[in-house]
Amino acid sequence: MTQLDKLEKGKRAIIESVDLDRDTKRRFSNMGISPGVILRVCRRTFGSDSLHVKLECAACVALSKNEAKHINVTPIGGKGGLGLGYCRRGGFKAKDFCCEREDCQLQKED
Amino acid sequence: MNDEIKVAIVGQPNVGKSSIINALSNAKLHVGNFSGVTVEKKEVFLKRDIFDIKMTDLPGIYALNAYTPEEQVAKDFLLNEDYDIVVNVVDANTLSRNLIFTMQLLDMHKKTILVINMVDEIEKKGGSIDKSKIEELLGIPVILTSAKENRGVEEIISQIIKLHKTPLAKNKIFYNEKIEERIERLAKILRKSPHFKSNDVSRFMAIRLLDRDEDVYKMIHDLPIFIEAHNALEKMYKDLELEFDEESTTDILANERAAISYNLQMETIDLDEEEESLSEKLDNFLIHPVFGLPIFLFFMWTLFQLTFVLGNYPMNVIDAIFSETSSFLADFLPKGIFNSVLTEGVLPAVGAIVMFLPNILILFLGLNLLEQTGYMSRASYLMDGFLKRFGLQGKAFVPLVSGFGCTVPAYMAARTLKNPKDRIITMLVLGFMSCGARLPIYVLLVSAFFANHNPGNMLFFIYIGGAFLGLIVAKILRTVLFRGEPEPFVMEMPPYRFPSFKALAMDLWIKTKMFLKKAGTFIAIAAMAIWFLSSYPVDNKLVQNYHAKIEQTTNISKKQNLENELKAKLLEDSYLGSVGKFIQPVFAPLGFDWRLSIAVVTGLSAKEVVVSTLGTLYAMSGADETSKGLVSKMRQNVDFKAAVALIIIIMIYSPCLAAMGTFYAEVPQWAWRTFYTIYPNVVAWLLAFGVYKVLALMGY
Repeated sequence: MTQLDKLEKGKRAIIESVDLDRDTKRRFSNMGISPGVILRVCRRTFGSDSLHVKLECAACVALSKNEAKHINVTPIGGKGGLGLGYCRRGGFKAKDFCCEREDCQLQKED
Repeated sequence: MNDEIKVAIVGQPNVGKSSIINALSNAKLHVGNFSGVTVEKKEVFLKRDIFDIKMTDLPGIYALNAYTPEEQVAKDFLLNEDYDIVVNVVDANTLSRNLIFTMQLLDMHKKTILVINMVDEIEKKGGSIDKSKIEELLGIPVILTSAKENRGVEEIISQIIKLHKTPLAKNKIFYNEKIEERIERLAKILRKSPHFKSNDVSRFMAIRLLDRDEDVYKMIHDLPIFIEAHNALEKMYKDLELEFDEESTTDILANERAAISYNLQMETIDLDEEEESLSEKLDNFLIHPVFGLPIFLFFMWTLFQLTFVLGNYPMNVIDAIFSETSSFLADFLPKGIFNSVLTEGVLPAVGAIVMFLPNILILFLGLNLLEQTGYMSRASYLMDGFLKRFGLQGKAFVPLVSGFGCTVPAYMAARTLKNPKDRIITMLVLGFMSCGARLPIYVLLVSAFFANHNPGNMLFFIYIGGAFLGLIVAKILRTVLFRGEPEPFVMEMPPYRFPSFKALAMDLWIKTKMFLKKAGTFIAIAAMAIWFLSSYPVDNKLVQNYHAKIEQTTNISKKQNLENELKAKLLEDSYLGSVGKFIQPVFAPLGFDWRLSIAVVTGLSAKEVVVSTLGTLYAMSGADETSKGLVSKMRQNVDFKAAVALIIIIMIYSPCLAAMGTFYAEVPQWAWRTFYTIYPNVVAWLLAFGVYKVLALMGY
């Protein structure tokens, strides 16, 4: 698990938790940034002050580093497994990624 | 009598609500491709058959847990106002996220229509949406639209009428049974109050209370059921958080809604994951970590170059037309008051304003392109880190750039900032962003005094210099008066969209109409007032003396000089001259004569009045008969140092009365209102004085 602001450009990850105050957390959730959501870091500004991420719902969101460091994510590794997104929500299509969580309840398909 | 249907148009930001209303009703609501274009509710009336349809366009809102003041406007309307039908507009591109809000709307159990907009963009990506499946799953009518292509919008009206006639369908959205059980228990308590007798209302209120909605909590606070409801609620929070292993019931409900909407999208949208969209390819270049900011500055520089260079050609033509018309009418019409009012008062003043219309239109076109293409959000993202160093955050960029157009909507755009401190700092420095109405003064002064020094660059420097000064003031305010961190920056970046020519043309047409109307009414009346105040009282003895001298003189040049001398003396002795001389000591250290002093003061009513006042005063003084246009008259009569000081004063001092009124309406604290009224004028004077003295030392 790592912080979102430390995630490399182009990497996909699954959000594990958002450790911000209740109001901000709710705002992030309303904009699509909540646990279980997959995102990809598209780019950063000069000096890495802000990040541009693309969420699995296809929305692109810009957020600053101050907030990104409070979002814990698990980078998505190789193909073949099922991810947390499936575990938590249930019922939607399987995705071709592995969440790499040790405690994932679903068996990885190698 | 016609049947009235009240419709609330609601949805997340930037989904095309205003575009749909425009397409439906030929209304001219302002549209743009970024979050926060609409910040207050707007009403549009339609007539179809026997129905009068009142549509209320609400500001975009991500969820019923309103975060920013403009979202609160939408929430207050949805919870407290009277309406029959909800039209929920969603963006087909981000359907699952939009549907989370739809779930909250469906909790209200009102007649609802789901409008899935921008379907053309999904189709272009080779995707499709199963409309009937969504209707079946949600239990409400669904319409697929593309406001841009005017597709499906008329169906919204027929569906509104159809739904109006049919009874309310059963609710189809239910949560996990553990949550449902709590909702029912809480609703039962609420139903004991006469306010929540209906099953629908009590269920909705129970859901909102479980969602920790503070507004709803306040609503029940003074009711007799409060103690019982509060105790039950506290227990439910604890139990549910334990059962679901979540920190808050808000998270539990958010997860539930997210799961339903995600499933719904997966079931109903057939779209392959795209490789790299055009927006992403453009972003690789336009918001590049290193080149992004220089590219943005280049765009702004080009805009001001075009504003000056392109606008200069029609400006000169319009100036010449008004000057020639004034001269012709002065000779053609019989001498007298009417002649004088028209040729020395109204025409020079109106002409001095209308000649800058092309420049203003070019500036607005550039700003509109910035808004409609989606580049505005990108620029906010680019500027976030930079603005943070000055105590602001990226979202403040939107009102700041809007301030280059007009300060009034810019003050209102500050509603998109949640933190009151951030909002007040942004509003306090917004005046430093020179609005379109100041452009004529800059173009006039730059044309007169910097014609040989790349005037386009000078214009760019004035605008960027003002903005930079504003940022320095923001930093001081943040350090001294508003300590603390700016609010978190999170902003949606919409895909790039090709601007709608119709919307662009409509916006420019509205600006032109408003500008000409202002020139023909407010400016013309102000010009008449200026003419009257500068024409009376007339010292008949002085006139007789001069006429006697003029008759005795045979030399034509001397006659002309005496006539000009008389005009200048009469002007100085007029009411306006007396007022000008009274206030002149304040401006004298800046090198202003009484005419410049008067122009600056009249500019508080509207910035265009500065130019129109100068137009009238220089036309009446007869100071230079050889120079026809105002530009050459300014060059002849104003010192270079004073001109630079005037530019600084105009850049910084208080905005117009309309803008000040908007600030007072948005900021209720008298302390900030007083500070806002005084500090820009003090800063403007001190800075102008400093620059004037430095230029004097440099030998100018």
